[in-house]
Amino acid sequence: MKRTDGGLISTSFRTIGDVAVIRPRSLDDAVAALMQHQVPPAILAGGTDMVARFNEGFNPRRVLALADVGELSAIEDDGEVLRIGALVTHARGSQSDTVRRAVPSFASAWARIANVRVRFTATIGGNVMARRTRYEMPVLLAALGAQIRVRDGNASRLWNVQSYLQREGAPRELLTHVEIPLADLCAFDYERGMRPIITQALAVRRSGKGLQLRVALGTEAMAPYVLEGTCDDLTGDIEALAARLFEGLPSGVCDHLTSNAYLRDVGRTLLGRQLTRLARGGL
Amino acid sequence: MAVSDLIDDRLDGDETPALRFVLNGVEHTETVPARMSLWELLHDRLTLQGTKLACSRGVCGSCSVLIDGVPQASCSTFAFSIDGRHVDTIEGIAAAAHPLCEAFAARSAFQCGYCTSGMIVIAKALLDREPHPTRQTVIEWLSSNVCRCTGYAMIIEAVLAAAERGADG
Amino acid sequence: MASAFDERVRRRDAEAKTTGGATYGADLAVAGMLHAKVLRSPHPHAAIVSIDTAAAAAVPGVRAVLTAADLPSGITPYYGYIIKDQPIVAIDTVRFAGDVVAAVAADSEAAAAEALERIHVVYRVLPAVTTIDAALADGAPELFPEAPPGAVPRYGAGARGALRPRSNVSYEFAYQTGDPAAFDRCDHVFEDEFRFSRMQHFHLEPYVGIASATRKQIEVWTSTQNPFPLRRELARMFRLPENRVRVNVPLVGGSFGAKSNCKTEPVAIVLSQMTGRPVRWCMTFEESFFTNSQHAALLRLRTGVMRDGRLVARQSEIFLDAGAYSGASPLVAEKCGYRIPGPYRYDFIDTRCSCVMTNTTPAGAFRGFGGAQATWASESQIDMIARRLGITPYAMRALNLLHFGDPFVPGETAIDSDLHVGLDLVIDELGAIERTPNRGVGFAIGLKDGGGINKAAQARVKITTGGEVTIDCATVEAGQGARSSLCQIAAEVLSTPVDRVIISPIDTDQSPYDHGTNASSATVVMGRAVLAAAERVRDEVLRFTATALSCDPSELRLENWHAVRGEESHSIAELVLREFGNIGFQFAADGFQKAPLDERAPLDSPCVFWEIGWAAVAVAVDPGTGKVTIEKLVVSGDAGKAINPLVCRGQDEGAAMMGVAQALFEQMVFDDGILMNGDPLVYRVPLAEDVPVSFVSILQEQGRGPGPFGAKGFAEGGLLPIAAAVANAVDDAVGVRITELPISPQRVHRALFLQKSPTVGVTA
Repeated sequence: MKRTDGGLISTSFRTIGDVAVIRPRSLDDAVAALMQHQVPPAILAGGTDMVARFNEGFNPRRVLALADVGELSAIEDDGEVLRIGALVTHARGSQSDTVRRAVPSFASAWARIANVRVRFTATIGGNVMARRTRYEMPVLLAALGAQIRVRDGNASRLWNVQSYLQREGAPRELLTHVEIPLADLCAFDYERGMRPIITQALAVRRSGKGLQLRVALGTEAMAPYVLEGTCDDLTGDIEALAARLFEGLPSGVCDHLTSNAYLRDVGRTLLGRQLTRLARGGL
Repeated sequence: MAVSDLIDDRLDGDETPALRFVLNGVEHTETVPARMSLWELLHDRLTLQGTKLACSRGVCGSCSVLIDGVPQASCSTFAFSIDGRHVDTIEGIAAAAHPLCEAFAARSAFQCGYCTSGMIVIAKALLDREPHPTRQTVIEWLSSNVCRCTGYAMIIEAVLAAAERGADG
Repeated sequence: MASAFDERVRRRDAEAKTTGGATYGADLAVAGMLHAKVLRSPHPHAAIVSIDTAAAAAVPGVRAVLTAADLPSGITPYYGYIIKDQPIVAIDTVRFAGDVVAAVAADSEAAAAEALERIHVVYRVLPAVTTIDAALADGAPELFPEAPPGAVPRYGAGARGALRPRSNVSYEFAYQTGDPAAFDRCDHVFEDEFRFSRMQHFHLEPYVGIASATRKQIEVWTSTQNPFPLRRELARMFRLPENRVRVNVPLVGGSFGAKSNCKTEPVAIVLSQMTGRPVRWCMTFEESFFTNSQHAALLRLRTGVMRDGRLVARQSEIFLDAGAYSGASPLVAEKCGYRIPGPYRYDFIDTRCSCVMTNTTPAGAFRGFGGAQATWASESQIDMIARRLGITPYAMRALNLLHFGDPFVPGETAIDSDLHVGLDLVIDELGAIERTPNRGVGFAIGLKDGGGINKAAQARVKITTGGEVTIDCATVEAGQGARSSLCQIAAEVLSTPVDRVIISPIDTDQSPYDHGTNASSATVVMGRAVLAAAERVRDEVLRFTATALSCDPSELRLENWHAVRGEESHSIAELVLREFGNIGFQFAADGFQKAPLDERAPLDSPCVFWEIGWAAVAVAVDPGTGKVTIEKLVVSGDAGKAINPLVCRGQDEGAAMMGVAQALFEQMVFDDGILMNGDPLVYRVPLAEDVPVSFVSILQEQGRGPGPFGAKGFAEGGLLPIAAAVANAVDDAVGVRITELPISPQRVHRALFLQKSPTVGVTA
C-alpha cells in the first residue's frame, strides 16, 4: 500500500507510469548511468523485490537493468575472501563449485532460503539491498562477518553487513559484491526450522588456540542481531557456552510478535543444538 | 563510450523496440511499453488467460511461466526481459499434452483452479530436471506455490503420478 | 453403463482448469470498460472533515471521482445482511484502516491511481476501539451512535435475537432450553475462557466485479457466491425492481465465504452510472485484507457436570469481533451460539453470542461460520473437564455423545450420523504412538447444522433431441465441485454418461432462483432440486416415448437416451424427429427444494442435515522452542453418499489444512487497529511443506443424508475440530493447556515455563 495525503492506495505493477530502460554492459557504465540523472534510475536485478516496491508506491521513471553486466555475476575465491557478484542468483550461487569448496555449509544454507522458484531469479545483491527483515541472506552474512562492497560514483567502499543494513543506502550507490572472509573459518550452520519466528546462523572461526563464535539471530521484523563469544573448543558444556553467548543479548532486542525473553531462551536453545551438530560433525 | 550511448534512445518514452521471443514454440514479435509486466503482456495483450494474477508479489506462484525453461513469476517480471528468450505458458504445456495436465485432471488435483496453472508450470520445471523426483523433492518444489483449496496432498500425488507416467512414455 | 458416481468420473471443469482454459471474474472484460481504484482510510477511526477532489478530476484519463458527496440521491447507500450499516463509500466517518473513502474510474488503473494520489482528505482522528475487550470496556466510545436500520430474523422455540443490546454490540443471539436449575444438581461447575484468532480467507482470485449501469438498470459480472441475494441487495440499494438488476457469475477462484453479497459491485455501479461506461473494479490481493476476514472470538463456557463425567448444563457467553461493519456477523453469531453445545446431550443450555463492533477489518462469512469458534472452545473444554475429573477424554465423549436419531436440541433435526463410529474410525486410524516424552494424541468432533436455514433452490433440466443435457441452476462453482456433482446427479437419474451433462452459465435473468452457494448446501439442497427436475423430465420423456410406442410408461426405462422395453431398445432421438420433424424438440422440467418452516425449531426451520468433522492428531512438542509438530493427522467426514469421492477428499483435506493453519500459525495481526501482516510475503498460509508427514482423510458414507442418493453436504466439517484436537494433543504431550489461538511456539514455550513455576497456574 502507498500512503498519500488522502490515505492509502493499493498501487501495483499495473499502476506504474512509463519507464525508460537503461541496459549497461559494464559496471562502469552502470555506475555512470546512476550518476547521470537527477533522479537516479531504479536498480533492477532479478526483479523479485521490485514488484513489492511497486505495491508500496514506488514509481520510477528509469530502470537500470543490470542483467548484462558480467562483472557482477562472477564468483571468486582468492583464498582470503569469497567474493560473490551482486547478480549471482541464489540457485547459481548455492550450486557453484567455488562456493561449495570454500564454505560448503554456507552453500547448503543458501540452497534453502526463500523457495525453489524464487532462487532461480532472485540475486544475493537484490536480497541484501532490499533490506527486508523477512529476507534471509542478511542473517547468513551477518554470522559470516561478510562485507558489502558498494560503488558510489568512482568510489568503492566496504561496509560490514550490519552497518550496511542499518543505514539507508545513498541514492546512487550500487551494491556490487558480497565478500565473505574465509580466514580461519571452520564451520557454519543455519537453523531455519523456526522460520519465520526466528532464524539463526552460526559461524565458527579459529582464534588463537580456541574458537570464535559469531551468531546472527534474525526474526520476522528485526534485522539480524549478532552475538559473539569465544571458547576453547566444543568438548565442554555446550549449553553453558550457549547461555554465555546469549547473556549478551540486550533486553530491548525483540519484535512485535516475539518477546525478548523468548528470543533469549530459544536462541540459546537453538545455538546449543547448532554447536552440538558441529561438534558431532567433527569440529 | 558516452553514457548517452547506453541509454538506448529507442527505449526512452513509450514503447520498447519490438521484442522477439518464442512463445509456446511459436516466434512472436511484439512492441510493448517498457512498464508492462510479463503477466499483463501474456494475459491481457496476448489473451493467454491461463496464467492467473493473484498475490501480485511473486509469492503465490499462480502467475508462473517458464522462461528458457526456468519457472518465474510473470507478475514480477518486466515484459522486456523476455527479448530473445523462450516462454512457455500453461496453454503451451497443455497443447503438448503434458502428462501433468492429464494427471491433475484425472485425480482432481485442483478445486477452484486458480493456482493450477502455476502448479503445473512449477511441476513441469521439476520434471524437466528430475524425471523421477522423490516425494520430498516434489514437496520442496511445490512449496514455491500457494494453494488455498486442496491441502496439497492430491497435488503432490498428481505430480508423482505424472512422473511415473512420463517414465512409461 | 458406468455409474455417474464412479470414482473415475472427472469433474466437469477438469479440462478447463488444467489447461489454462478456465475463465474467472478476473479474466473478463467488457468493451469500453473503465478501471476503478479506491482511496482508503489510514486511520482506524476518524471523522472526515473534508475531501478535495478537484486535482484528481483533472488527471488525464479520469472519468469520474466518487466520494460520499457524489452519491446519487434516491439510492439507499448502505448494505449488510441483517443490519444495513456499511456505506458504499464512507459517509462522514471512517471506521477502520482500509475503509473506502473515495473511488475513481479512469481509462487505466495507472490513471486512476494517479488521481487518487491527488485527493486531499482532512481527517479528525477519533479514539478507536480495536479489540473485543476495548469495545466492551466501561466508557468505550460508541462506534455507532445512531442505530443503523436492521431487523431481527424470526426465530423458533428458545431462540431470540436483539439489535444493539449494549454499547458496541450490534446484535446478540440468545438461546435457552431446559431447566435452569440443572446447575444446582451438578457435582462440578467449570468455567473456562477461550480465545479464537482471526484469519483471512486468502482466496487467490481477488475481489473483482464489472458493472454496466444506468439509473434504470444494472448488470454486473462478478466473483460472488450468492447471485440472487446480491441481486436483491443491489435492487434495494439502487431502488430498482429486481428484474432490472442482472448478475452474471463465472467460475470463482476461491471464496470460503468471503465473496458473499456486496463487495466491489456498489462502487462499480455508481461509477458506471456516473460515467455511462462499464466499470471494472479489481481489487489487489492486499485489499482483501481490508475487505473481509474471519471472526476472532472470546468464548466463556460455564459447564456443569456430574462426577462420572456426564454433562448436565452449559452456559456460554460468546463475543465475536465483527470488525467495523456487521455484514454477515449476526448470522455467524446465531450459528456460533447455536453450535456451542457440540455433539453432546445437555439438560440445560443457555447461550448468548454477541457481535462486537471494533475499528478493524469487517469480519464476515468464513468457512465454518461460527462452528470453528464454537468447536475450539467446546472440544477443548471437554478434554479439560475430563482431565480434571480423572477420566479419559474418550470416555467422557463416549458417555455424552449424541446417538444417531437423538435431537440436537428440542425441535431440531435429529443427529443423522453415527458420531461414535466416526470417532472410533479416526482414533483407530491414528493408532498407537510411540510414547516418548513430549508426544501426545488428541481428538475432537466438530458439528454444524448444514444446508442453510430455510433455503430455497430451483433448478431446470433440459434435454435436446440428441439427449444432451443442460442444467440451469445458480449454484456457483468456487472450487467445491458443486456444479460437477449436480451434473452427476442428473446423469444418474437420466442414466446417461456424465460428460453429456453441462450446467449453463449463471445469469439471474435466466437461471432459476437460489438463495446462494453457502452452508455446505449445494449437493443436498440444490441437488434435490436438480434431482426433482431430472426425475420430472425423465418422466416426461418416458410419457412421450410411451405414447410414440403405444405402451405404458411403466414398461419403459431410460438408458443412454434410449427407451428400453424388455429386450427392445428404441432411439429417443429418432422418435423425437419423427414426432416433431424439423429441428426436433427439447424436453424441460423444473425442480424445487426448500426445508419447511417450523416454529418448534429454534432457528425457525430444522436444519437439513448435520455436517460433522472428526479429527485425531498425534503431535510432538519441542520444549526447547515450544514448536508443535503434527506427526499424524486423521480427519473424517460423513458424506452420506459421496457423489464424487475425489471432490469429497479434496474438500476434507483442504478444510483440514485451513484448520491446521488456524491451530498453529495463521492469523491477522493488528496493532491498535493497524494490520501488521496484510502482505502476501508476511501473512503465512500453509504450503505443501506444512502438510503433516502422515495425513489421512477417511471418507465415510453412512448413507443417511437427505440429499440425492443419501448425500450430505461436505465442505466445512474438516476445519472444525482441528484446533481443539491439536490443543488436546499438546495437553496430552506436555501437560499444558493452550486456550488461545494460534498454538504458537511462543505460547507453548511460555506455558511450559509457567508450568515449572509452582506459584503460577498452568493455563496459558
